[in-house]
Amino acid sequence: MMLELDVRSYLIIAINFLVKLWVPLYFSRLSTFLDNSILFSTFINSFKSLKEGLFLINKLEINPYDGDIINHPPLLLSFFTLLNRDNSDFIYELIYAITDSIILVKLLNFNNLLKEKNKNEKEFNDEDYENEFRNEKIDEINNDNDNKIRNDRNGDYFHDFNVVLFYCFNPLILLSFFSKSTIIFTNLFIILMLNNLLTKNYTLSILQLSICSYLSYFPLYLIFPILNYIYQDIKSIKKIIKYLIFFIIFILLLSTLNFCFGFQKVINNCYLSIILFKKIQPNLGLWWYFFIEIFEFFNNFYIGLFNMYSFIMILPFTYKFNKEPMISLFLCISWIILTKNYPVIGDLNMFSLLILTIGSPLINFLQIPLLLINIVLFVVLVLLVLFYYLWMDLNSGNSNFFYGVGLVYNILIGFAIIDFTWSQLSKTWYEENHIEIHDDEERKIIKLTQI
Amino acid sequence: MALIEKIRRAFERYDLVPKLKKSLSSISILLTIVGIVWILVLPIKGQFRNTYISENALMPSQAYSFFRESEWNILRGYRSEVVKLESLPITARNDVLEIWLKSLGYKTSKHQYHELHSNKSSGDTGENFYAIMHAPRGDDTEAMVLAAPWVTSDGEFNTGGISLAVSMANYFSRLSIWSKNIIILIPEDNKYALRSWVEAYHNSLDKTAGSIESAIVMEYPSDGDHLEYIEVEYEGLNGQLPNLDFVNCAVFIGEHEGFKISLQNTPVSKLTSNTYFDRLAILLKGIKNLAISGVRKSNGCESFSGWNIQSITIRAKGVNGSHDITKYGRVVEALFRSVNNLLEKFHQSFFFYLMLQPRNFVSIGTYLPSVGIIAVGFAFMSLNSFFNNSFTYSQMIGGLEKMCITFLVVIISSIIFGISLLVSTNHINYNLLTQFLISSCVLMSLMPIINLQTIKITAKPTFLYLFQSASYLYITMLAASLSVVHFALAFSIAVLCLPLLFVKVQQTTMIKLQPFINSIALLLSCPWFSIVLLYYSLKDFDSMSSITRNLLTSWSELQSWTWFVIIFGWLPAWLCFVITGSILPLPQVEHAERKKLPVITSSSSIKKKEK
Repeated sequence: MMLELDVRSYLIIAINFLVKLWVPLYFSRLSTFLDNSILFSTFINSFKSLKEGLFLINKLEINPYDGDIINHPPLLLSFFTLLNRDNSDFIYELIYAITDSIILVKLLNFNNLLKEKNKNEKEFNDEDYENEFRNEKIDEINNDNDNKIRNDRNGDYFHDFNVVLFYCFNPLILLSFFSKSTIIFTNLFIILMLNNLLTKNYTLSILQLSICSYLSYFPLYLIFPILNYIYQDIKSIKKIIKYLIFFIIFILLLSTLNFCFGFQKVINNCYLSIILFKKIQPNLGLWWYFFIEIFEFFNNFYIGLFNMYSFIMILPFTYKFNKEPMISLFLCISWIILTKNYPVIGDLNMFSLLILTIGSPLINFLQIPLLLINIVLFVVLVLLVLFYYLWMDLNSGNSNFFYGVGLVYNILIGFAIIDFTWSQLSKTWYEENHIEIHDDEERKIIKLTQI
Repeated sequence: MALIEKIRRAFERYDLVPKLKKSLSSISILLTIVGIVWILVLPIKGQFRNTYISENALMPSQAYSFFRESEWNILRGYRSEVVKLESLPITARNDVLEIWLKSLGYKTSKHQYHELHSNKSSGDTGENFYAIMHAPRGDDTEAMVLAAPWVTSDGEFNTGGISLAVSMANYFSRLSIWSKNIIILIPEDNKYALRSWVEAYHNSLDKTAGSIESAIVMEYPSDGDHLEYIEVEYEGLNGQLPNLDFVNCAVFIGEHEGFKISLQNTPVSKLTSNTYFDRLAILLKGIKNLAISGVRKSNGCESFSGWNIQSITIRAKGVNGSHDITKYGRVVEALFRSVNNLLEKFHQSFFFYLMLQPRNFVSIGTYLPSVGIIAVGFAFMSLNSFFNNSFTYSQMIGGLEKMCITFLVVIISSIIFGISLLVSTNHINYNLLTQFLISSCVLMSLMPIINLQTIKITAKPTFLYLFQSASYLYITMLAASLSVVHFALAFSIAVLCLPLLFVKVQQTTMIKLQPFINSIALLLSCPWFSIVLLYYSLKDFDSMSSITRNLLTSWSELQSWTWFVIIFGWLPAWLCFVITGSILPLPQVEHAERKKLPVITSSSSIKKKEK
């Protein structure tokens, strides 16, 4: 599907590409600085260790997985070895800039696909209830300046131009890009996968999911909501089983690459280090604090608990929102982002991009305004940096302060997830009970309360 | 959830939400008052704590000190030679010191440095002398520094300090107890020379002695044998303080030797009294000195901050006391022996504290809420300017983009202004700059009146309210995030910004005095006005231009980031208030009646549509 954008958007996308190509080339210290910050990269997705791995392969010609320094999957290493044998900075930047632009274009595409799907569903619904109600037609007039952010009424999707603006000028996305964390590739495949789900290229999207889970393990869980998505469309258990077998085959095919480097070593370095939380490194997540030395005898318990915790809501979300498979995917991805063990700002960016696209019809039903969450999030991020500086550089703070603020950060994300769950529930309730939602100037929504 | 639901319903029943909304501004003023009173309450008995040594290994004054009469003779000998050095150039002095310390078995070295902002006649290079004694029992990885600058912070020749340093070097070299290396450091002065040595030690010097655990700066300007009391200085740069254990040790040992200890320049007449106001004075002076560290004249120990070095300055005061110079030496000796006992780095006690008396302190948990409460007050004011006007939520949100752009422009222009000044520190006429800053401050503060009378710049009222709301929020963020690393600066800025609570968007319906109130509030809270305030209230500075000079040069000389806090935080926030306070709102064409906000109703009350 071709994108239909106005000139402004094309211009911004082009400038965005050039900026993201040239800035890291000329300010390479910025990238190193951000790469060293725990907010933007951890050892499983840091660019520095990726380069070390490439150096081990290309220059020293030894197996990078012999030690436990390299935790990037072989696919990524082979990809960079193939494309960039001479280790030139320009090629690296080019690959990253192209990846970034693909994400942006695919994001726009995804947004448009969602709009189209929504429109089709609306028409379908309108026909259904035509005799019983007169549903208020959505006025698609893009009237005054004050409502520019919202393209059309009744909680629909954002205008393309706004998505472009959000993506190109969001400081967190920019910083996360400049840190060159490899999380960007996982994010790319998630976006591609979502796109292909909407265009019904299920085999392709299963392939992309397998690459995604191969790159960073946790997306593996997404197979459940995706199978549900496919099932809601084709309603055939047999085909679902077929897709599941596809998925397993893809994963196995990708794993054959591991044999080039020694199967056991790769599994140890890339996956067991994630699942068993082998490297205790302070980060944004919930895990690390529980693995510090004084709780050592509980380690196995915590490993089991946290792995269970990151999986535990996947099936409930899939089951509860099985009629809204896109929402269930959204919630599952956000749940993984909340509970994964080495989260970075790149994950937060993925979350905000999903809110921007899938979540945008629900924004009007939120109980806590997103603006407020964003303001608090900003403060929390500033504090996180400060506390890390206090702890590591000045030695006058300690891990408790840092983890405390990290906890607030996670609670905020958790709040957002809960709020989106709630708003989806209330939206379905309104629809089931055929209550009109007046989203006029006064936001006169009848609010539901939980008792 | 049921409890929260109950509270929610109670709010609804008594119509509390609109009532609270109406009184947001008075709540915020109340909160700021609480925040200030919080600090005033701390010196009341029962609110503070007595100091104690938290790290058991320190054992201050447990060993008998041998720096006594026999050493006194050696000291006198050195002193009579040191007095002769005063007229010599620095390199010649250092040559003499080198001969002395080499003969004691020290490894000596000299450190050359370049003045960054030279105003000396002798040229722009200087020389620091230092000597290392490797520990007879240690693993050669940690060191303690004994520093005595040639010139004290008051500008006097440090006769007693230098001769003590050499005679203690002599004494230390005869003891076999040391498990940490000892560095005797004689810098040219205690500000930039000392700082550049500390920096070079961690980056470029060839002869080093491991990581520095502690540093003591000795200042003993007189050439007599007696002193009255000692003064302990402990503030570092950027809100850093030495570990409380180290300060406690100094106080404990000093009192054990019979000295009276003075903190924060407490005069001798106040040393024996311990009333509420004495404690309050030390507390407030502590906050002030910490906030302007890097700007005021150096106290010596601040040069060590930034590398996890616990450092204090011990200064001898008075010449006619009953205590003698070896007693002073014994305090330093006992401190060295305490640090020598340590097996780990200092970590037990507090790194953030405020002293009330040598033996009383408050820790961070007790005083931090004050700035937190003030920050919350500003946040409430932000909500107030967002909600308490005649516009609806979506009308207000409509101006978000324009507001963000203006805000960014203000911040970026302030940063460019600040950075360009910082880059050109060597070519600035500071007198002129100070005059320019202060006159611009006055002129901009008068903008509300000038604009009303003559220029009449106007803007959309929604934009103004939103902009004001964002500016209050900016101050909240500034105070809250800064308070974690640099409480004193955060508190001072928050208190100086308090007048901004009274800046209001000018409206025709308002009282006639509003422009004048705006002007006065803007003037009082301007960052440049605080230069005037600092000059007239402290009398520490020669001129106002020296304050400006120190503000600008403290980054390159001492890595103190006070200037950055001003240009990133305070100045943009103030400029935002100049905009909101002086620009007139456009007369509203369609005066939208403020309707009642959507009322929360429970699910049972929703009437389902009949099918």
